[in-house]
Amino acid sequence: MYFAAHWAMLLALLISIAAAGFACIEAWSGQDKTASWLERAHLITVLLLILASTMLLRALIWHDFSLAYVAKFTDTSLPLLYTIAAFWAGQEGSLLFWALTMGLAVVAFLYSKSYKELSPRTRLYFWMFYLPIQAFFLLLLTGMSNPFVALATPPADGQGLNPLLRNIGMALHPPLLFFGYAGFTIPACLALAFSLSGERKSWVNTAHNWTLFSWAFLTSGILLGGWWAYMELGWGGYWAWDPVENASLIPWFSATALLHTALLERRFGTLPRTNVFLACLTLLLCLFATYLVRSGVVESLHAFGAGSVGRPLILAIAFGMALSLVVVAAMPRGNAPALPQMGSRQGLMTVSVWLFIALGGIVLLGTIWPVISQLWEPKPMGMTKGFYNTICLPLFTGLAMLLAVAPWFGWRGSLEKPKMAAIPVAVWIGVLGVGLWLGIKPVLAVAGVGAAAAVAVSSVLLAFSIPKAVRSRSFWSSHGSHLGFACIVLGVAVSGPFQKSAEAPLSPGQSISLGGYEFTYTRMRQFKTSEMSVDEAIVQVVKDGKVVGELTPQSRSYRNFDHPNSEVSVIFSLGDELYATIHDVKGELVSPLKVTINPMVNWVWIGSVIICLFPLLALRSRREKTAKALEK
Amino acid sequence: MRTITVNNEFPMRKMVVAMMGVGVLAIFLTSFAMGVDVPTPKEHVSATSEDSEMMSSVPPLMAKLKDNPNDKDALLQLAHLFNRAEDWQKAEPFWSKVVALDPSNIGARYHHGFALAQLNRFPEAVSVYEAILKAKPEESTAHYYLGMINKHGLKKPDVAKKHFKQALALKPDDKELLAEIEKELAAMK
Repeated sequence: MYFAAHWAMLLALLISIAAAGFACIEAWSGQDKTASWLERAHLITVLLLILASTMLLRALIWHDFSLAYVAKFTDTSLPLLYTIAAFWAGQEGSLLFWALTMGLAVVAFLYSKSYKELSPRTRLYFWMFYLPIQAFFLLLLTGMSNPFVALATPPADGQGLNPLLRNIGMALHPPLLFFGYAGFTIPACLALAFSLSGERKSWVNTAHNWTLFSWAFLTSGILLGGWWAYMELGWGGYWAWDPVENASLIPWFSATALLHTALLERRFGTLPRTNVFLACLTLLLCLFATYLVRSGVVESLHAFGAGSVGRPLILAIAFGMALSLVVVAAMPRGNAPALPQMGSRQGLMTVSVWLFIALGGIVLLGTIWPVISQLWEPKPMGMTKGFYNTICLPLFTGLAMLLAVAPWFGWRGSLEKPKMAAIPVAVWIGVLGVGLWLGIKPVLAVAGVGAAAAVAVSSVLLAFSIPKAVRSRSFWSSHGSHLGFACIVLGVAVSGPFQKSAEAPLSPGQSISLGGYEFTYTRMRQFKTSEMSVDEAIVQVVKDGKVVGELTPQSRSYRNFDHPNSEVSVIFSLGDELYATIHDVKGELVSPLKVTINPMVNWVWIGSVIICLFPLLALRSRREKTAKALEK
Repeated sequence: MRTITVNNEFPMRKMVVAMMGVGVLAIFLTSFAMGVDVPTPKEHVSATSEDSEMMSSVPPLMAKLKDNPNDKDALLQLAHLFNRAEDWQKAEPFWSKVVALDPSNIGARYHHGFALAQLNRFPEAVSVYEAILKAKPEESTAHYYLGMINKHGLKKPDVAKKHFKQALALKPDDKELLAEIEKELAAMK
């Protein structure tokens, strides 16, 4: 039966190749007749992808272990949610999911007014750039990364999903990332298509909603990954600068830079070439993220092993980069307006874009450093957390300060309300001064808190001083997301450096004292489900004689997995979040119970929700787009 | 057939189109070379596989190392986990670190040498086993491994013979070792 799914993908590949070939021939000869045929070809390939995906999903839900992918990632005891999530648990399913999402996104774009407004020539070029990308994914899926490999002797039960992935965060983190990755295909193809066709209007308007959506999905995927690491890995942190974590962060930097440069082009027509390059770069970095994760090129705590897709991916990235550079280099210089001076909001926004690019470059370089340094080092080592923190955290703090002061500058120059603008700066200096006076270290953390406070104060002052602006969605979209960023900066600045942790082997009745809290291990509770057996330590937390709450960290032994897994327990707080894990359990002895106090860590998650949702307020409806066009 | 106006403002249009054409052709040729069959089924791994265990144990151990890069226990556990998964590329750096932290751990040295040999880094493996012999000249197993590396890896049968004989001389009563070495020596004749 799975031959049908394989053949569906093969047929989709053939149609994509044929359609892409026709698009190239048409573009070469200056015809534009095939666009409608290309659209139909795409619809057929998406239908075929839906068919293949449905068959994989059916195999997962029905526990058909004759399929190697199903046997590897599920078992009969796995709850339905995680059985469905197993679709993207492995490389093969992930790539199928990415291809499907990308195909569906392009179908949605195809039926949008934005697409209908494109000139036939731009449409043709759009398909000429998009269809080969789709064909490339189908090539991987029909060959090196085929999810429909059948087992000659199917096992009675599967291996089951890795316990660490049995978490709602991990069930949602990959699809959100893939929505983001897939979504960036449309801005990149539009940027290239508009460049070649010379269509008068700017592609950044057409791609606006897609860029925003994709950015929001990518951001939420990254932050949800951080939350998963915090709640599931049990080491008390959320970001370890691991190569796989960095992999998705690198395109985020270029995507965020694109959001800001696109705004400048929409408003003032500046930076057209930069935008084309950033759109292409973001898509290529999404592919590079997959290369980092799947090729085994760098060691990582959750790299997914050396895979066969590494070489084709790197070739595709190199090809895409060469193509983007040719297009950008050949773009007519035209008469794009020059950027105003540095002392303007445009100038400061450009500085922030450079900071994003610098951060992306540093993280990229740090991540692939073991690959580069193996040229002269016999034992190449990855960059440590210290490297990233030392370089990136000051840049993030600088970015936050830019967000606090930039809105007070006029778009074309000069400080508009100097007294008001001075307040956020004074807040920052004040917080820093108080921190230094109290001898709080590290100073960078104090500077981060000051910068977060400055952004918050700046946003409130803006709302009061420009009451008209508060009624606009664009105000909430930009300043709301900046506030979200400030919350994240605040959470990171406090939760990392001021975290307290202690661990000890404990028997019932014994305690650990930490940061004024008394953690008493009272008893052990044991129970079993069809999926696992659980040892749960009941830990009572008392502060100043008052019971704060009860922590229930668990050690879970999943069916098919010999090694027990720690399940984190937390007592939520916007101040000190209490966090506990247990590792080994011998009778009633836990060895050890690890307790951690994470101050203000939840501001990272609050900021995450804000930063993902508020930018969506800038999504434009058809009516708004038409009105904007008429204004111009 | 309607002809569109060729965009004169984009001087390298044909070059870009040609590049895309080459890309499409490359995809077509690769798909052609791969054929139409579903890839060969992989060997099924048992439900309680080492891989699964390793996957769930690695992240907490790596997190421990992030906190303390010299956590000997974590390093040792990781090295063993990757050993069991026969992922020598990943196991080797951990063994190397364990040895650096605890040079007296002869077992770790053996594992390190074995991982290096599995990675075909024979001269480095030889150095590791020679270091064991320097510290403990009576280690017959080190001679055995040196014999194996010289025979199979470095293709130096004479040196291999010398080590096999030294191993036998040090432990003439070890029947298992004797059988192994005799088998190797017989194959060399």
